[in-house]
Amino acid sequence: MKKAIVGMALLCFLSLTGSGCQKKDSDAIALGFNLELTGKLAQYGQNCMDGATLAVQQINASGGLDGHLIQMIALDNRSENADAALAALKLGEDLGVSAIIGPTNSNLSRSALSSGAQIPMIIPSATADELVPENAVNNMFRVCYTDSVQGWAMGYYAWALGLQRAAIITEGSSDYSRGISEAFTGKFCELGGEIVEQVFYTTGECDFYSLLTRLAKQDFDALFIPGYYAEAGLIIRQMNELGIQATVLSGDAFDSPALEEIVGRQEYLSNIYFTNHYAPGNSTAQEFIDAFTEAYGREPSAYAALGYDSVMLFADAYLRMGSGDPIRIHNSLEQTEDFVGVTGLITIDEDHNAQKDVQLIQIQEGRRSAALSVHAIAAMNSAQATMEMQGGNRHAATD
Amino acid sequence: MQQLINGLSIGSVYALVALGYSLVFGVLRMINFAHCDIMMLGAYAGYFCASYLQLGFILSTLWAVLFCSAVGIVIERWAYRPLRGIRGMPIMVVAIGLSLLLEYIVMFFFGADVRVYPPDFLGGILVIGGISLPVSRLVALVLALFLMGGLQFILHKTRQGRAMRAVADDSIAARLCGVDEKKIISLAFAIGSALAGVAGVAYGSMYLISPLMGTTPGLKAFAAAVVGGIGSIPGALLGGFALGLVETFVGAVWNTAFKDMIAFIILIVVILFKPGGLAGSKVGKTRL
Repeated sequence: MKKAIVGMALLCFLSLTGSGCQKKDSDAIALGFNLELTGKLAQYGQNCMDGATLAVQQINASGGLDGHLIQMIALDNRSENADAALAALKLGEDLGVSAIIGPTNSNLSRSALSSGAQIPMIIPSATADELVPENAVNNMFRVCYTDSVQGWAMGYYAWALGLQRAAIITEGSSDYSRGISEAFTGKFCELGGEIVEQVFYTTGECDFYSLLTRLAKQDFDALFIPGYYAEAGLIIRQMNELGIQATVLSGDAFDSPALEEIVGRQEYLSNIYFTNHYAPGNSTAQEFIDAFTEAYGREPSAYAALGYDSVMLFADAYLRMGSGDPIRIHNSLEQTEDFVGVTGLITIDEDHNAQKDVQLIQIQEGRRSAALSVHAIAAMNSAQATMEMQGGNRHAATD
Repeated sequence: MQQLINGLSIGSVYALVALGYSLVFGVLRMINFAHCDIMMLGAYAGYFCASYLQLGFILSTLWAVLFCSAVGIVIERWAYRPLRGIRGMPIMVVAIGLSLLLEYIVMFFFGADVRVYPPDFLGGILVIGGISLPVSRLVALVLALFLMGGLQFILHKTRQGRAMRAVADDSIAARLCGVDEKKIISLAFAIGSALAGVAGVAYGSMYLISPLMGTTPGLKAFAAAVVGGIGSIPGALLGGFALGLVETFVGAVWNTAFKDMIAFIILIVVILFKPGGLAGSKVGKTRL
């Protein structure tokens, strides 16, 4: 029986790893992190953490903010909704941080934001439209654009590429994937496109032969896969194995340096377009990419870039107010305008969402390049998108 | 026709994992929840051999099998054996704890990112009469059939295998007849884990690997083993293929959003009518 108790204790220990308490240093600015460091979303949380850590190191190396160093207090929410809410409360109430960064995922962010913790939460990459519960104080500040914006941009772009008939493969249990599918369908059909069929899968599924064989009976020229890169990569590999030809379109969760590896073969990596948070072309982004590659020995993903921008946005808000008091940080974040981030110019609007451009990246013969950036938010209001051409792009942006 | 092949190839993965579940259950009457994580270890061992040591399929699989057997023996000796004879929960809790432990050990060494086998590891696609069949899937299918046959042969035609069945039937009587029970149980774990190792490499070469990759196929393979008649070796194969085919056809002709739900409703109905599983006779009486 004693051994069984040891076994139990081991289990308890495992479930608590990462939530060890760190003491707050009185002179430093405490910045909380509520991230998916373990569990099924760990790759996103860890990438975000790496980007954020780089930002904090850079700030501290140059003397901190007004002479105060940033102290990172990171709690692991284990990719679980309940832990995300608990971590938010603990950081806000017990550990007294100035602001919290994270979680990266929409469901977890929603749960952290409804925990009632009265503290500004900077959300790096959760793109679902509604994150804050109704009638609650809006203490969310979003560094990325929303699903309806990127789905809209992709629908617009698909039509501009000359695509007319699209099939959609949606992750059925994800708000992210459903939201972006809906926005895509709305814009694409409005412009005259047709959705031939929409099929669903669940995360963790690896075999898409059945789905793809079903789709192959339809006639389509675009395959929209608004899902995470692991599944999307497998879908691209398997559709090529089955001989299905179509232009692949995807969203921001598609981006990962591992994508090419998952797809496996160079000849499968053509005619792929996806929306992303940053385009490797511009100079702020390039500086970040160089620093990140030097620190970690690999290229940063968009999650790392957004984690980096989240810390920098906090630093910017701190410097404008000169105080780490959560309420002052809140007010200061609200006034963010044209902040120059790695992921583009960020202005926080009245819903606390980032108004920024949607970047479109294309992959041709295994090489990524920036296709365009779409000023989607301005365009959604004027119903006329203005597209900005970037570097030798093949397609004219005509409506 | 393509859908039939699709279903069989998914089914073969479930079957490979289900074989190990069934074998260990047959001998010990316990469900080894860590089994699917041993499969994950096998996938990583194969990945390590294929990517870092650049070994071919056969050598990588052999190393994965050896590694998994060793892990299986260690787990049985140090985690399960001390608890033998204690009824009920403790052993299940240990199994769940081990499962988490293995996942986080791998996450510590390899990180949480997904990884892929090199593209030339079992690469290539056969196209026969308009039906595409990647070599890796064909290999999984052949392996499932071959290993099921091999396992049946060991259990029925070898001395050790007969001893294993004797322990499964009645461990006290087996001991009275001079069977070394501890050794036989170790052997059952080694073989079960070896099967998980093969399943891991087959799975890894078809799809991708991550520290939590074992969970979904592990659950489904467990269901497959129960539907087939847990404790029965041909039943495990039957259950695996049945689950793969049902899942595929529900998704192909009906509804993709609810295919798992519908597939499992069908399985529940099967269990209601045949509680001992497709290959079993009565509840709990299934013999190795």
